[in-house]
Amino acid sequence: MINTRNSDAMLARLLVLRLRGGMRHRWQELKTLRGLLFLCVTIAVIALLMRQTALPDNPLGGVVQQDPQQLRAQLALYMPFGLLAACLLTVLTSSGPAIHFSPSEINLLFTAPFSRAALLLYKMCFYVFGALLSALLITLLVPTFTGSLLATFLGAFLVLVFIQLFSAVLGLTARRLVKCCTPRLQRSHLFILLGVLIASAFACLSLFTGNLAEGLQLFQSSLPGRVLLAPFAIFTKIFTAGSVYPGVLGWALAGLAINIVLFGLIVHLDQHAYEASVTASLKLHQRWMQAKRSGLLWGTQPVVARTSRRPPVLGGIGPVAWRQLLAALRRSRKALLTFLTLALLAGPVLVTAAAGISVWSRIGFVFFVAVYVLPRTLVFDFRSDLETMENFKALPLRPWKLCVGQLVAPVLLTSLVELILLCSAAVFLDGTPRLVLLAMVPFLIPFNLLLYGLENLMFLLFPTPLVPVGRVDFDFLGRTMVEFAVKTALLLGGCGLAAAAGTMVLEATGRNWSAFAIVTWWVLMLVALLLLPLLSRAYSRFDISRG
Amino acid sequence: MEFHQVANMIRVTNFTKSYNDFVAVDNLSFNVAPGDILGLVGPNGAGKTTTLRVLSGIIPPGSGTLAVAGHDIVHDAMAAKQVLGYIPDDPRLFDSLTVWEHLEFIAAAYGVRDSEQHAEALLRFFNLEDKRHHVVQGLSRGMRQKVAIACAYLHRPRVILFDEPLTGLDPAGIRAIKESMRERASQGAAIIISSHLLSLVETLCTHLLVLNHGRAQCYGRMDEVLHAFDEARDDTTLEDVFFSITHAGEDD
Repeated sequence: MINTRNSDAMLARLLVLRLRGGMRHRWQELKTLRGLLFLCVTIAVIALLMRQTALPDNPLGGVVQQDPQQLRAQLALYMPFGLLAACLLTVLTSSGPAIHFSPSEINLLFTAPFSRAALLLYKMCFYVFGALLSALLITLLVPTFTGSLLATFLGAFLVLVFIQLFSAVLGLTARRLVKCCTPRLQRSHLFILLGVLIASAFACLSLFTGNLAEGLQLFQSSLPGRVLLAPFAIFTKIFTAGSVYPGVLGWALAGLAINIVLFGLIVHLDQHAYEASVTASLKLHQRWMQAKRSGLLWGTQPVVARTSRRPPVLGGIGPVAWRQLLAALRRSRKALLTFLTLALLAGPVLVTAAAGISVWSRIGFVFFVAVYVLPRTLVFDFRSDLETMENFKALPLRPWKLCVGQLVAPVLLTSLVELILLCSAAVFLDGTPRLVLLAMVPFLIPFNLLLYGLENLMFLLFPTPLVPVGRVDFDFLGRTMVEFAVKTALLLGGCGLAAAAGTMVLEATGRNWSAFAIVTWWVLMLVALLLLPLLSRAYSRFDISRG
Repeated sequence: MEFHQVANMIRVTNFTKSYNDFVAVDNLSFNVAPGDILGLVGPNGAGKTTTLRVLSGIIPPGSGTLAVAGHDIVHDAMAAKQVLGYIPDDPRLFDSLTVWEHLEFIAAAYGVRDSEQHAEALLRFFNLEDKRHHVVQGLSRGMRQKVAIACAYLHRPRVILFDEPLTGLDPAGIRAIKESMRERASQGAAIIISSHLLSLVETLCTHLLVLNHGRAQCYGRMDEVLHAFDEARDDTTLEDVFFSITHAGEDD
């Protein structure tokens, strides 16, 4: 019979072994030229970002130069609400259990004579280790609003652990409430209801006072506000305390005590959700494996679906494109709806609300979203088909047809999101700026064809998972940065070439803008189409036994 | 498409495939005629899956000639694939599609006309009718295997390659698939079955190819191979032949 002390020691031993295994894995990666190169790139980029944030003319760095008292007052006002929102969002977006176990942990540890509390503590140690690494990165990258690195590090670490624990408690409590009271009520409904209530309260207060900040202040000083925000206010004080002792350390101890209490609550509540936790853990693991293939962790997957119409043949391109569009609509409905909504809202925000930010910063932001965020989230091409590549290889389809079919869904859907963004921004503009935005619409298809052509070409040449393996995957971080840089250079090169050809025609035709647009569009399309033979070649040479 | 009958639907000549320094298949030659079922057996890592993957055009051969229904799998790949059905050991289906959509996809990709009736018959045969609108990700391993086989049968292939076809199937499923293999062979299809289930290979296959370390150790008609192994005995089993040829028993 294993007693508690022995079981704790065994789990601690396992923890050490797994951490050692993880470090060994990283070390093996670093020993390769590629791993070393990517580590250097990661460090260089982090150093660059740290230097950037310290510059006085940087938007973020500039904030640090403001009056510290004013900054602390702003943090004290907004941060508790931000933490509350983060907790609610964590629960809403998480489809898995509060604390999840991998299938190997379920198979090996759940069947062994370990208490549930010991297993939860073991798992918590992983979260704490991850939070420590994340807090370290945040401390390095985010400018110290508090003026103290220690406050930033302790605050970030305890806040990250707190969000995890508090969300878990919320989730477990909601599960229990739903089970006891209304079996038909979904857990997510409960949180959406809570979120809507809180948002409505803020909206009412803002309307009442005529100002959001005043509304928040009023809510914060009211009795319900004080009760609701009490734990969040304590964590905020770690950042705003000023002095290290007793300020930062005192509030950090209070935060630690809250986290310990929350962990105790989890152990208590989890006893009632043991079976659900096992099922949900396995589901989450499946999602994680799916995300490793397709890059989308918050995907949806219906069990039964209304069978759609027969796919168009189009020489073999049709069924491939049809299949990817179906996958996009079924698996990534949430992501698509989110991006479409954000695009609708972002237009006016970028044009009006963010008037204080330079035009180039706004263009840079949109470029980053279009070139990095969207292609990493809307993954409906070769990148999501690494495991099913065998099926495609066995089909009697010429490589170029398959490549065209694979690119249809991401190009169309990304163009749709960008079209809505451009139109929603154009509504709030007049004159030339509006015309410029609307003139960009026809260029979306060739631009995205070029973008996704490059994405897929790089993937077929160097196939890798789309999500990191663990928190310190320098190989992944470095590779992502290199890919982004290469992709940006090639994209700008392609667009530059098209623009140069257009400009020549513009000059030759006596500033005929229609001729400029037509020539630029055709050259950009040609550049994008020139990628197809390369993509076909890369696909033909792609050896699935090595992929 | 008009198919012309050739003497050997599958023709493999001096086929070699290497991964860096490792030779997975070494100078392999064999033929499969219409109506024949070739059992491909060998220990793990013998080169069975590599052979099937190269034959189906999924990975390129290192050297040698491989032809399916008279079409070279490298130089005339599209024509070869048009008459070929491949069922891998792990059925990797498209997660987001329903069972019926898989059949629709295959029908469109292979240009199968009037596929609906045949698809319905396959669903009935494999007992998948009530799963028609189910997204395949939620199906059990055995169900997914049946979907993969139904997809491979839909375009009425003249050459069918099975890699461990019975994994995860229930007894009814096993019987149905064995029956379907015999039926397809009787209709003139050339079939290769790669399996570790020696009893399945012995009862179902007309021919045998034993691979070990990428090399053909034994190739011929099943009854001739069994008889040649021990002429004095009438009850020689494939298991006896297998262990004798591969010396796998020595590891135990």
